[in-house]
Amino acid sequence: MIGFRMKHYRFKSIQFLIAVSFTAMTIAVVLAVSYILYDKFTRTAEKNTSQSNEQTIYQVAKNLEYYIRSMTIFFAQVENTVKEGGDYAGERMAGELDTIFRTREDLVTIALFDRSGHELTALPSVPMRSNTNLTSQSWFRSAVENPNHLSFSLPHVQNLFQGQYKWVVSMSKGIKLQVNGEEQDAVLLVDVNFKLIDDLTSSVKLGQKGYAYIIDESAGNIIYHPQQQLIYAGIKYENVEQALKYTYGSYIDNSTGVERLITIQTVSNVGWKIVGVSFMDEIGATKREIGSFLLWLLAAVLLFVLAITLYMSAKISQPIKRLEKSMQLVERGNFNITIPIRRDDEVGRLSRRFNLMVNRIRELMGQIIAQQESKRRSELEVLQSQIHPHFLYNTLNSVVRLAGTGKNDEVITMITSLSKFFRISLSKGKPIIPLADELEHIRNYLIIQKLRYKNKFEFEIFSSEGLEGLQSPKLILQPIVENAIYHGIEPSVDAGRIVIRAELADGKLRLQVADNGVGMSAEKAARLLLETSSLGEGEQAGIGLRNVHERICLYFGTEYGLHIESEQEEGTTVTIWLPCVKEDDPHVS
Amino acid sequence: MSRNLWYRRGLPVLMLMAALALMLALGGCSRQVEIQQASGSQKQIVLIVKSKNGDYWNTLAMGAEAAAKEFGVKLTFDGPESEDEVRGQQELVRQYLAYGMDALILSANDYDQLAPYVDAASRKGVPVIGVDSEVNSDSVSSLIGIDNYEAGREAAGKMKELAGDRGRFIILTSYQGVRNVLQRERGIRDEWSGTPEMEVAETVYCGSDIETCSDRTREALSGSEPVDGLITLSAAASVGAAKEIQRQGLSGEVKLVAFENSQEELEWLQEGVIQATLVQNPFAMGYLSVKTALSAMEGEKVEKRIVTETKIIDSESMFWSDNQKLLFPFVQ
Repeated sequence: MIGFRMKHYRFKSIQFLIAVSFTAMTIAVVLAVSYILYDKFTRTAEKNTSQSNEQTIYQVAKNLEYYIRSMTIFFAQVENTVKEGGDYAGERMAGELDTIFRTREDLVTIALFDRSGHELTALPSVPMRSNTNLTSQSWFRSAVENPNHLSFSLPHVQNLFQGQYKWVVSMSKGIKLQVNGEEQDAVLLVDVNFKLIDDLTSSVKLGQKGYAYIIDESAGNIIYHPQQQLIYAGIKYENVEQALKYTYGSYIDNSTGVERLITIQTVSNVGWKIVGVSFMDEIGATKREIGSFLLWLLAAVLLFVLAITLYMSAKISQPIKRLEKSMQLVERGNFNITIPIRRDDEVGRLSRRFNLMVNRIRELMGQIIAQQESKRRSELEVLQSQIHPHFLYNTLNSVVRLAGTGKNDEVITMITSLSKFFRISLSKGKPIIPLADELEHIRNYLIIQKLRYKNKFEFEIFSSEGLEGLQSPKLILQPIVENAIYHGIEPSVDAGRIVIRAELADGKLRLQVADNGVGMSAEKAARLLLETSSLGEGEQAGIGLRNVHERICLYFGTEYGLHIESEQEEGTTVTIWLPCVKEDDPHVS
Repeated sequence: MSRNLWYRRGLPVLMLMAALALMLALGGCSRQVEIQQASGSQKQIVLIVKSKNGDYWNTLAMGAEAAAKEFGVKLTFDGPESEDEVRGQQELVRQYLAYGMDALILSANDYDQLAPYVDAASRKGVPVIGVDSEVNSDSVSSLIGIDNYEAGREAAGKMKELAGDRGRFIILTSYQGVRNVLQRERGIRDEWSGTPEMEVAETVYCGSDIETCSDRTREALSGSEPVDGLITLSAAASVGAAKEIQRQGLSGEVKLVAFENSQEELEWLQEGVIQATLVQNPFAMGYLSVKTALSAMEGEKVEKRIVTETKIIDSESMFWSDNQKLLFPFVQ
């Protein structure tokens, strides 16, 4: 269960997301690059192989051509020697031929025969064998059939002389000799072994296993092959049919079951073809090498990227996780935390904002606590004012005095008003009462006070139409009217007058208590509502006003509350601003 | 906090590791190539023939060497001085087995006496390939060579043709009890069994020395009854007999059908002293034996018996293009 949750958590983490996406991206890019490189490399490798093979084979063909030409020249030289010598059996010519013969290691035989195959002169100077079938041998026949044309035979074993059976290529030509003034047909033979052809051909490097061989253009007989004996022994086979179709160029051959690249070049002066063979699996080896290199590279890059990604994603997500932990603490109610800011990146800024936010919350909570406290205090004060014992005592004293003087009507009025006054004061403990009740309440209060002060003042209460349904905090007018009587009317010598108005102004409810008492200085009026103001002598009145002001502010906000205008000897007007709140309005609770 | 520390300290370590891995990867590649080029694990195949001397064995070794070169194995060629040295050959097998090798190609000088040595090699996990001659052991993975019995019949058939279905003949060969020779002899006798006029007078053994063989031929020819022809089953016997026939001027009169194709034999064949020779293809044998040994080393199934071709060549056909290729080894 825990494991599952852990997993779930990890798969959704930013760290995981970054690591996975980054790694995936890198893999994709590296794979794509690897593939392109691999493709390019292998193509280039194949192309290069084919090109270099063609160049190599071309070079071999050139060298071979050069060799054949040099042999042709050599043959002409021998022919001249023979012709000019005249006396072919003579010492001089034999000596000359012997000198030529010794200079070259690729010569096997130099021999001169007449038309019927009898030896006229020959090198090496060993006896001829019997049963040579000389006249039926191909080199002899072609010399007789095409006189004055130098022909090259296929490889064959030279069986003319005792002591050796050598594989040779025979060069032969039918020539005319002047013998004792008579013209005589003869056949000149020069046998060449494969030493130089082998040197030329086996020096070819076509990859590690590749080789080159020579075929005869007309019939496709193999002239020379590095594995000639294997071919002669019937173990090896070369697909010469296809090679015969080309003069030069390259193609892929599959006839031996192995894919091979065949390159062909013709040796023009003798009618031979050089066939170069290289093995595709060697190119394949290069491919594999590149492939494994790229694979290693991929693995290394992956490892590297993975490490970096893990580090980076951890680096990014770690502060976020820290922030989350701090938020968790806040969630649990701990506001006394500050996140240390490590650097000025997004998370740093987020942390700073978080710190500010927590601070602000802390501040607001402090405010709320203070507000709640003051609300409770003022409500307590209201409660106190509801049962104002001093007022009750004074009123009852007045009732007793009135009763004593027999003013029964006035006693009744007073008691009735007192009873109503207290009924509304209590109002079942509700803090908010209809405006009508509040006005009724103040009316009763004023009736009582007017009787107590022996009609020292008059009062009037005006209320605009349609205000009956509006609500008001209770007992907000009483402290103001009380102030007006005690501090405004009572010190005044003139007849007092208190006017109370309730009306709508600017979409708000405006209550005004105006008296024509002694008034006060503007500074004093301004100071009355300031909480911090130290209350001097005779300024006790401020407490009641401020209490009312704070209550209104707590309930409705600071745009509502009290406003005091006063002028010395002219009177004071206290304006109460309230919102238009209907009954059942949830705003007021 | 400890994790933070890990991250902070881990970064350079990680970087280093990654860089190291990269270097290893790159370095690893080039090293691999070097190993490939060095190829220290080259397989070694030992070829022990009946005798280090003789065209036949040298051609066989050439074939083996060609295969070794082609397949990239190391070939060691060895053998006793003479074909009758059984002890010497046993010792060679023992020695090479002690040095260690990956496969043994053996042309046994004795059918029975080399068997324990072949078994020993097989027990060590070294596959043994027989070439030319059989060994009396089941451990031999494959035998490459001609069918000697059939070769005997072929040679006898040629002799019958040359002699006109009648005559008294001598079989001349190297050593007594050689399995190949016994099989050839049986083939000859079986071929003639239906023709009573074709008679084998005797079998003469003359070793591997040409002079001895000439002497034995002279002795045989100087017997009381005339000899119409000889079938010589080894190169030395063939050359020795040819020399003696030539010396006595009996060329053509005493028919000579030989085995094998040494240079000297071919000279006599061209001269017409030897009328026909049965040639094998030792080059192909050598090549095939190495190729088969490689297959056996790889644990592949190999054919128990690979029969190589034989051909009867006479002086007329010896320079035919195809026969030239078979008779004369291609050397520059």
